[in-house]
Amino acid sequence: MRPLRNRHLAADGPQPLQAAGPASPQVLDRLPRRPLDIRPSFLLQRLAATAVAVLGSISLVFCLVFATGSPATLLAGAQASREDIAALNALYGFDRPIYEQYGSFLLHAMRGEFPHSLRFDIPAFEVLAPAIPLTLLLVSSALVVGAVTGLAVGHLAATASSRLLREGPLALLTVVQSTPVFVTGILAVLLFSLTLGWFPTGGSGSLRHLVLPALTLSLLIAPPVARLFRTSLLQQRDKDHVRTALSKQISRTQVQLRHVAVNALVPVLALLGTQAGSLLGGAVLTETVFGWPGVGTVMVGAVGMKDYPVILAAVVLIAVTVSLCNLLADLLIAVVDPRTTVSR
Amino acid sequence: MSDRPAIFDSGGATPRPTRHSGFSLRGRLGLALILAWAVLALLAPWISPYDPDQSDLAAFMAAPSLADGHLLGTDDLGRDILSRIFHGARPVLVVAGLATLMSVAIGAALGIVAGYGGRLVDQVIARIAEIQLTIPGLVLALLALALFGSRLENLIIILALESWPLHFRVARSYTLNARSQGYMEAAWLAGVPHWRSVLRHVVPGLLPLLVATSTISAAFIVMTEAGLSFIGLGIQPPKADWGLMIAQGKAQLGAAWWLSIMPALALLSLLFGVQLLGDAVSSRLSSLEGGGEA
Repeated sequence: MRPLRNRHLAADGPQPLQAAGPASPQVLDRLPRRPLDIRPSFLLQRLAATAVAVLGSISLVFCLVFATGSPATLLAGAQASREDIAALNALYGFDRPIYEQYGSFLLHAMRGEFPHSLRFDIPAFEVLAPAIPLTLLLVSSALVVGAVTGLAVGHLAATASSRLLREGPLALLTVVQSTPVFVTGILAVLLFSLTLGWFPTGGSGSLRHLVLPALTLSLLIAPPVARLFRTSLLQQRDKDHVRTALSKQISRTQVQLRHVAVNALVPVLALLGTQAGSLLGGAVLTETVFGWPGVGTVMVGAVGMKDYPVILAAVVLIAVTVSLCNLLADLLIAVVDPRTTVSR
Repeated sequence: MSDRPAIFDSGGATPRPTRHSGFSLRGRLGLALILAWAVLALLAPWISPYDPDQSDLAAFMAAPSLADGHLLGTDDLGRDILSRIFHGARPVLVVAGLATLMSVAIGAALGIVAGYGGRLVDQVIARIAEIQLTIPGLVLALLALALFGSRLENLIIILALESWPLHFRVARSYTLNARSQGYMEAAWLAGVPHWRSVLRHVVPGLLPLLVATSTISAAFIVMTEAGLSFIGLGIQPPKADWGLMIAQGKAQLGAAWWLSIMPALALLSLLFGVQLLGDAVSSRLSSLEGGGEA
């Protein structure tokens, strides 16, 4: 009986509707009934925003390529014959008016079609394809480790009884935050690979290869998560429903978990969505440090060889991934906290 | 936290008795670190013990020591690391300084225009800023440098173009707020042209906020510049640059750690200084505004 009521209380948590007086039946009607019920208009709005972001970023890439003056010679390579350029022009229309070029570039990019890689002479996307799962593995493990570390440190910082535990770990993370990823990576290699010999210095193939890159990249996300979770916990702790729960003699741990921590997680979810970009950017550097053969390493290699089709494909791939991550975070928040879909 | 009634708090103390004169100690330390690097970079040709590009044939990968003249050791080509660190501070500081100034100028100008102009202008600029943020800063800079070549001026322009959205957002919201104030209406009614009331009433109040955001930008720009040089897209060898030195020393990490670690420490100290200064500036701002909207 009791836990059920608790959950009910936690679910409507900090109540803006009641705070503004008795809720009108209309407003209540607009609230989603079931937890997984995302309102179609909200879904459409987020999808449209994602489409705009994707189109916009591809357009930005096009603008940059076009600004170099001669996209065709760029993409066909310096040693391209007249026929090569003619073939590329026929396919992408680099000799036609700019709006046609733009349309053609957009259509091709959306389908993941880029000119052939200059180095491997296969479609640019196929050069990247084998690297994608490796980058996803690296980024997702860094995300999990970083989020868990950040949440733990943030929780400590908000609730620990000793001052040392409250401030020590958080201060440590703050110092870590002003350290560039590649410096952290080099320090990690020096300490854990070369001095202690625990992990290989680089490469991939086993779980032991993943540890250092994932830990390095996770330090990018842990500090902001820790600080936000701490603030968010402290805010939630003073809410009315928490006091009510405490006054009902529910144990402190129960209240802390069910009523404070769960609600404090929502802003952290939003933060994780916005951090997708910096995480992928950091992955490029991390992969370079550890020789992890992911998208970043392929892209940096392509830069060295002036393999422009592969660079373009990688940039578009990363931009699309970031937009999708933002969308995913928005939808996740809508599921966890349906009020966000109403207030917009 | 403690639910003490408000009565107990009014013990005669003023609301915020914190540092009103000058900077906190941390802020001064940060400023001192940055200025120290600036001085070292400026005087690099005169204070460097060796020519940064000259190989010492008698000392390849010499370990740091007080005895034989190479204080921080030499690299795999026998070049003195201390001299290279002094010279390497130059590109970092030039790029960070110029790119930060440019990004603040662009962001502030666009922000004031967006705050002043119609809804359409506002929406268009805000969309552009949003789209730019979908491509991670490092990746966009990588693409642009690959397309246009890794020259110093390209590096500065690209990093500036990447950092303006932050200043834009601050300038825009400040302008929107200022526009609705009585003194702006009064100025408008008195027939003062818009550009003059912007200069007299918006810019002065906006400047301190922009100082705070520019330290954030500067930290990002220093990190990205070093990252790009580390990848091999920023400053090109044989020039001395911290990110480049870290990358070049990476292969020798096991045999000669100082090749990478010494420039890394230099980079960290500069970033630390920027962060300390930034923290001090923003905490001073929020204490001046009484914890209001910042």
